[in-house]
Amino acid sequence: MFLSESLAAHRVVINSAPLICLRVAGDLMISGSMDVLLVEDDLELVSHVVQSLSAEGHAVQAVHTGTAALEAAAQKSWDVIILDVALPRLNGFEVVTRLRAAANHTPVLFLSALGEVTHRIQGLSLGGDDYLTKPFSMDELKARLRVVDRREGRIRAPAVVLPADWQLDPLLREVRIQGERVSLQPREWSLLQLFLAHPGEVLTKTFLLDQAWGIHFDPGTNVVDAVICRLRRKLDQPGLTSHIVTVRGRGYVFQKDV
Amino acid sequence: MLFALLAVLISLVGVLSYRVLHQAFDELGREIVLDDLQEYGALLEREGIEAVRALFAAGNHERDQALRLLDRDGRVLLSELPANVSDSLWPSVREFSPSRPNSPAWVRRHLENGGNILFGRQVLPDGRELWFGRLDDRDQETIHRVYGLLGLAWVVTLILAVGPIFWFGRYVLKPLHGLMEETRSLATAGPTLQRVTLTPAIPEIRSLVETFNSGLEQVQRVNCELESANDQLAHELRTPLARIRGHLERMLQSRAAPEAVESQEAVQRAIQEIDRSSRLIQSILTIRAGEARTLQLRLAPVSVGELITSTADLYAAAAEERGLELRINPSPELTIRADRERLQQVLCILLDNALAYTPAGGRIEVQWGGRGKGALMEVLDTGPGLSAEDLQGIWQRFRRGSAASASVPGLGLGLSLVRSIVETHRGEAGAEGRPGGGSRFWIWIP
Repeated sequence: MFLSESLAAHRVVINSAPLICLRVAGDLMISGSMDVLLVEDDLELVSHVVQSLSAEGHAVQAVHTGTAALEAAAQKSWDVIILDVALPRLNGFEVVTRLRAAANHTPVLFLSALGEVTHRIQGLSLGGDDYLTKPFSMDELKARLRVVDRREGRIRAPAVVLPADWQLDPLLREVRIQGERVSLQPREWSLLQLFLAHPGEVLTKTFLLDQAWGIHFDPGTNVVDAVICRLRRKLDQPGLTSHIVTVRGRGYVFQKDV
Repeated sequence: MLFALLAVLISLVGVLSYRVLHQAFDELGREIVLDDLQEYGALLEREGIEAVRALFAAGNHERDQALRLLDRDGRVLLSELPANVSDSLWPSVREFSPSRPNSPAWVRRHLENGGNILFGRQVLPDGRELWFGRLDDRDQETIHRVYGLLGLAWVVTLILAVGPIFWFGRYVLKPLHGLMEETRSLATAGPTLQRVTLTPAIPEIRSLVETFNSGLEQVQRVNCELESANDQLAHELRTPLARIRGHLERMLQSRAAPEAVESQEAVQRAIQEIDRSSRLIQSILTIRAGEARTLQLRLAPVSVGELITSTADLYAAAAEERGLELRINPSPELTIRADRERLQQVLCILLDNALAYTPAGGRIEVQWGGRGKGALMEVLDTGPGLSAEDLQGIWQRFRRGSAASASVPGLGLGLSLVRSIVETHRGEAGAEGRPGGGSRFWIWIP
């Protein structure tokens, strides 16, 4: 399910020219493909992001300076812009300010080495939609891209896909599994909602912390693991494998069928 | 204020000088009367009554002097009064009250026209009495003239003082006052772009303000340099980490990746180490910014109860998993002004430490309350406690307490970060061992 086979099948060419445009036919797409503008001056990172996103079926064009980003943004409409902050010519904060001033409301996801709370707040208050700090996990970037894209309403969030024998009762925060009521605490409920909204996607701990708790730093202790452990204990049927699968070193995936 | 003081002072001088002037003229009047009495007395004895009458007439004093001579039995031998004064004004003998026998005695009469007439009485050796009176309206006139001049001087002084006082107020007092207010507000604001405004003032104050502002400028420049150095450092350290992480991820997903579980695990560990280094870099940068006072806070009202409850909730499952009781002691509702996210990070570090060091079966308690003009938040545990050495060392960078071991992950940066963030809030952080074992960590935010 992790695209590595299909990725290798496509020839990925990275030109030395400032514009890199790749489109990979996405027969394994999880959701609709997006037109992504990547603004990043580190060529290795560009190649990494372009490869990964193309493998997901997105069309990625990369530019390397702030001014080039403004030109590219004016040329066509993008589904999302991935924007570095420390860019030559014009920094990312300036770019987003000018975009918004020009009534360009394309979602912007910052990808920056500046990790202070104030940087994130600044990026968001200038009109950015999300802020991811380097080094980042590709899974995290993909999940956040989808969140940003769905928030935009262009692609409807996939209807929640439930395992066959499950029923949800949002009012009581209950899951009925084969008719048996399982009551969840608020955090467990919001975690489950996240998993159901991203079926088959690897969700990193930082993504879960951000989305379920609104926490943007590392709280130390394995808090996410502990809550997921508890959630599994409540939801899992004895003798069957869990719907929530741990992907070592990456995060968790919800699988409808086990 | 200054004006009023000056006016009062000048008035006081006026009143005093008026009284002194009055007294001086009074004494002068008495001396003239005494002098004349002796003169007329001597003349009377030597030349007789007619000579006295002639002298009085010659002196042209019909308007302002009076002379009376009584024989031993009180019969009037001579009586000269100014034309406009009636005879009834003469005092009776009884009214004179000599302080000593044979010394002159005095009576003062007030006239309708506002003047006074002073009578002196001298008993001659042969028993006759000589009375002499003198009107002081000329003196009064002089006093009034002098007083008028004084008044004029008073007004002129005030007018002349207006300029300097106005000048002093506008160019010395007001700029100094403004300078005081602005420096006070600057001192509490931390590093800022604000400058002390240069108002019209005397050159000394202007140069003081300029020096002060150039000092601020320098502080600002150093701060900027530090901030951009921090940003630069973050960029230089993290971009390569991001590249390495990318390579490792690609390696994990590549078809050519070695199938061996060992190598897979090694790559995953490497990725974890990169994430850990990245967090470490962030902690160091934040501590650095805090120590340099360039850490920026987004202050907003924060409900302490809500913050602590939601933060503790984050650790509930982990505590349960480790067999620890995590308890929130009932505490009063409090609201403080703080940077919620940073404060939550502080609480997370304290809770994370408590969870890491408290053995299974132990208890972690969280409580808060108002102390002075702020909120005191406490995390209590039943862990190994703190040695005297720990109390000194744990707040320093890269220093871990005596209970730390290889099995408890950590670099000893957490508490430095706590102190840095708390002190940026102008609060305090502290720790101590608890009497029954375990430790108590607290932070106080004003």
